[in-house]
Amino acid sequence: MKYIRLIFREIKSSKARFFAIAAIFALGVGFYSGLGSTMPVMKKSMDSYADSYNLYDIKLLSEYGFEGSDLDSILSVENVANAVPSKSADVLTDGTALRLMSLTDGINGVRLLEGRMPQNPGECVLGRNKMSGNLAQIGETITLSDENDKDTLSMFKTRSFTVVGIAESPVFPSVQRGAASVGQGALHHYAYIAESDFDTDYYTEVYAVLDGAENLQLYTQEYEELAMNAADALENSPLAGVQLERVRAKAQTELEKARAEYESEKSDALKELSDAKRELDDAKAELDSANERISDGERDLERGKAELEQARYESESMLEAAQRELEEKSSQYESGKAELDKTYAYLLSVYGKDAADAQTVSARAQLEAAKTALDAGRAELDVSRERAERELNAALAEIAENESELASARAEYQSGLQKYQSGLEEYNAQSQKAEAELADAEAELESAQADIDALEPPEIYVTTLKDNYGVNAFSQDAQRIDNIARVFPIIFFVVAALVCLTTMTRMIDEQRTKIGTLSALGYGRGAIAAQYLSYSCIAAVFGGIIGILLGNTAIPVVIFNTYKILYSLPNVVLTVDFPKALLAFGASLVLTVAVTLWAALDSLRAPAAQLMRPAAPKSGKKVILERVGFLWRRMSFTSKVTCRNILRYKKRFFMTVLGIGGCCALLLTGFGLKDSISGMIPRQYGKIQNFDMTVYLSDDNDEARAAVYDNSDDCIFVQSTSSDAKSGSENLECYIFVPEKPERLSEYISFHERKSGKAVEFPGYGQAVIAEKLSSRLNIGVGDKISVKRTEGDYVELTVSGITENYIYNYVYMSPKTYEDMFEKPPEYNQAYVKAADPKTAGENMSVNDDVVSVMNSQDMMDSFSDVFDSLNGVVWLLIVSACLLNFVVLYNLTNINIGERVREIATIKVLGFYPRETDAYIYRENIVLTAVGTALGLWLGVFLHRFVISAAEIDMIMFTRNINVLSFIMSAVLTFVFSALVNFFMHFKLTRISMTESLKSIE
Amino acid sequence: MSFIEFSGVTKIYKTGQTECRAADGVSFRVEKGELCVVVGSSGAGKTTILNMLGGMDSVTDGTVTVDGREVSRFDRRQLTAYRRHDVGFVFQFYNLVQNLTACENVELASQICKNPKDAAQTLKLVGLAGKEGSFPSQLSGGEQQRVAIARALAKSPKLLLCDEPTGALDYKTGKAILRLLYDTCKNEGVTVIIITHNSALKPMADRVITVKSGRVESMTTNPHPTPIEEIEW
Repeated sequence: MKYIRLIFREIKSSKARFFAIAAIFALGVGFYSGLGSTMPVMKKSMDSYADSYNLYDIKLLSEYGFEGSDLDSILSVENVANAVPSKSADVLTDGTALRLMSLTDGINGVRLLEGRMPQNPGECVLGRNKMSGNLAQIGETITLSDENDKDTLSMFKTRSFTVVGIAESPVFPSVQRGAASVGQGALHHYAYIAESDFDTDYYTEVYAVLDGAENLQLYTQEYEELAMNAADALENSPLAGVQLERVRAKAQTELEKARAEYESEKSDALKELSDAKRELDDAKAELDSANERISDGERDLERGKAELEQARYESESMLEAAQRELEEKSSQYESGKAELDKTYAYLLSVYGKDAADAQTVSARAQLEAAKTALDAGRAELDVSRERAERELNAALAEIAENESELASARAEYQSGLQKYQSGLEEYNAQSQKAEAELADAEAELESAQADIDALEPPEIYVTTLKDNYGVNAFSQDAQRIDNIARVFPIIFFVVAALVCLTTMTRMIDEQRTKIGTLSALGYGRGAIAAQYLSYSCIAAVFGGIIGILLGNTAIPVVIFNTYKILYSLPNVVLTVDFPKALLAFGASLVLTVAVTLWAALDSLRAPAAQLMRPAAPKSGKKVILERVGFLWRRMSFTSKVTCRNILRYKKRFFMTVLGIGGCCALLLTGFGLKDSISGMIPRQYGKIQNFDMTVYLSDDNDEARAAVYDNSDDCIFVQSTSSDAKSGSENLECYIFVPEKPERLSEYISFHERKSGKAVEFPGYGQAVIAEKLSSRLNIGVGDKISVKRTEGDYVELTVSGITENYIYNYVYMSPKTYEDMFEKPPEYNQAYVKAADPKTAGENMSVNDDVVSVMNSQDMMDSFSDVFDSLNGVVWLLIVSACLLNFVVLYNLTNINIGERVREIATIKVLGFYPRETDAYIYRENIVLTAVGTALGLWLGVFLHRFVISAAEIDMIMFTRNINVLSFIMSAVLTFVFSALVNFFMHFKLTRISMTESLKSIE
Repeated sequence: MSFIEFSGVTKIYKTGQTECRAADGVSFRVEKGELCVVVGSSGAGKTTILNMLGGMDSVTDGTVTVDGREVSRFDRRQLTAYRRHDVGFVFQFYNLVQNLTACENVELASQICKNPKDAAQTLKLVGLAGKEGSFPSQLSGGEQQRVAIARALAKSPKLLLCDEPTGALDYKTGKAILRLLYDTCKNEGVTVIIITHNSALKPMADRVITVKSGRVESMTTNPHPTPIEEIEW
């Protein structure tokens, strides 16, 4: 009990020392377990996000699309718990790519941030875009632009959608949304709409969740195995066959329908033709008969005319005869009358009147009768004549009528004939055409049938979350943090051990007499050592607990929040990585115990009596420098003193220099990491690659090439295909790069060595130039062999002819000839490097071609890479800040000890009349020199540490620059000095507080 | 006016609630060039007097005058300057900087004052010719104390304050050091104050001040001091 009280009293009386040890262990343990738990925290947060929004485990795509009935085959696969179909399409709106997806019930929940979910047709909820801003605000309308092709537009019932909500989807956790099938290649935005707004009867994808996936953590091997097994099972499921049968049956039905239609149309056509033919024939017969009739008519008419002529002649001659008879009778009458008159005149004259009259009455009567007969004859003649004339006229008119009738009939016939002839011609043409058309249709049907027969099972693409761009990128980022986490805390621990060692050594030195007394009183060595062990262990445990508490909350949260710039994750899910925390804890305890024992060993071994006496002061010694007479003589007295003092306590000298050096190295590593990360992008896209865009082609054909040529100022075609390179047991993913025109490659890619800047020649036959990362990772140099995968398990060997500076992707450059001979196939140029003044427009124009899969703007790539690495910068800053913290603690503690050890000396020089500034300088000069030496060491060590951290932090596909900017060296040095100055500033007060009476005290 | 004048000097140390009167109305005077021994038992207040006289501590009440200047009214900076230029200290445990040679220890003091003596010369004066390059650990206690005296003398102080200068030395060496102090006083004309608990030293002084319980019990002058060699204890 008393013992414990003693320890606590000890702690109480030396708070600064206790907290120094505690703080350094808090830093060490906190950093180790904090940084160490960052990856688990990040992964767990993503897992929790995925779980709470039912993120899919498996995504299926099929060439044929999906129908509701396909779900049965999917659900029947083992482990598939649920499957929901979805419709989606990439569309262009205002020149940016937008993915429109149908809301899925039960899978891929949407986290609504503001507004509401779509309820009516034509409404959408828009995915938030933290990088470039939301596409539209709530209440605004998104309109699919006219640039979209018709097929795409026809997938939707409406072309504009009103934004009713802003949301985030776990399907797109990253601001980088992967590739789009429209626009310039990158997907920028996404929105969810009601399924009913799609005008398609098939689904584009199916999302599935797996049994037991919820209980497994994302990114764990168990989960990945579960997902991969399910994916395999789905790939091997009868789904493809079912789809094939369905599609084939459907096609067959349609074909049958088409065939039936064809048949009916064919018979219709034939019937029509024959009808037409018959009609034509009828018309012809009619025409012929009409012609006959007309000819008959004409003949009748001629005959009529002749008859009429005859009749006229007859009637005229008859009339003439009647005229003549009449005229004869008339003249007879006249002569009769004249005779009578004469007779009468005689008689009268002779016989008188009566007699005359009487005598002449009969004659007169006769004459009168004759006259009457004559008149009647005359009248009769007139009537006859008139009638004859009338009859003639009527006959003439009839003839004229007949004549005109005939003429019109003739004309009609003629036109009829003409019509018939053109009809006939048309018929002939039509019938020919119909024949051809029918033959075509027949052939078409035949080929359709052949197509159906040739149908193959659809390609079913089964992807897991590992293939989700954002989900995967997040784990890579977490991995990168973890790589750094492996290195940094080690330095913290080393420094912590050093600090603990010096502090405990000092403590034990101070308490020499006490140890002696205790020893004299009969306490065993163990008991005495236990006191110091308890002290340091309590400090270490105390610091460790604080470190674990703070480190496991603050560090992951800070890092997580920096990553929130890039990812949309709702909440950080804190988790303590217990093994790591315990490891850190245990390591710190072991270190403490070891260091304390080491520090105590000397004192414990000494006999009590010796300990009771004051320790013989460490004697002064000549320093090496004094032997360099000319230099020593030139040094001022104070610098001589400083020099001696620094070299007097070698242990402390090394501790301080190592401590400061370590911190400075950490700082330099932090700054250097920032340089390396941010420096890589401009170098890759400025110094190495010199073009504006990369065009990805699905097929190398003339039209695709034309599309590229027409829209570029200049371009070259290259093959860039994924492969694997190895040398010995090391292997690394790589890209086989074959330029079509090697002689022109230098205009696009600069081949040079990084350090010397010396140009590297394009490789000759059988040779390859490789990216630097390949060289360093595979440990091969110029003249060595590199094995490049040709096909699975089949490697070809090339001689490395040069190593070129490169940061993004690992390229193996070779000539087309080398490729063709080694890989036994001609290169397929699947990319074009393009120079264009306006890459955006050029890209859009090129995308019109179907074989232009996507277009990547170099500037966009730069930006997106910069975004990614900017977030890493946050982490770097965290490291820099903690290095500063560590620096401060170390310097403060060491200076504190330094002053504590020299209280008597300081009091003495104060008594001697040193002004406070001189007293400060007396101590500080040493500090400054130690800082300078430590800084120099730190800058030197930092270069290596940086190199080490860089290689740990970078992912396979990327090489960070190894360069550290001069500014970073300066910054690290300056910061180290600033902290040194800061510590000196605090120490000033401590120095002022040292009482001069200390000088009068006896040596303890 | 005397070279040193203490009049009614009181020093009260406060530690929490308790008050400790380390000096309680101390008055005495010392003339220039005298060798003065302040004698008293442990805790009598002699070190307090030394601290106030040496400008290492302030007074609570009363005045301390040295060479016509009122030291008790000096501020911190003036006190430092006073220590620097006017006072030389000799400590019981020599307080040499272990890491500096004998000569350098002397230089440590001489480099900061106005008209210092030559370090090597001063060492010769205290009888350490040839030991200039030795480190304290290579020197005996007496030699170390000589170095301390040399360090004090190198500043050409007006006043030499010695706190138990023989406390850590054997009898013979102690005597030799006292001889050196006496000679210094007489040859250099420096006022020397020796603080000791050893009353046997009284006869060697020009002036003896006896301190008891923070007060001056007596002050006597020796017109004819006994040479040090003749004193036995």
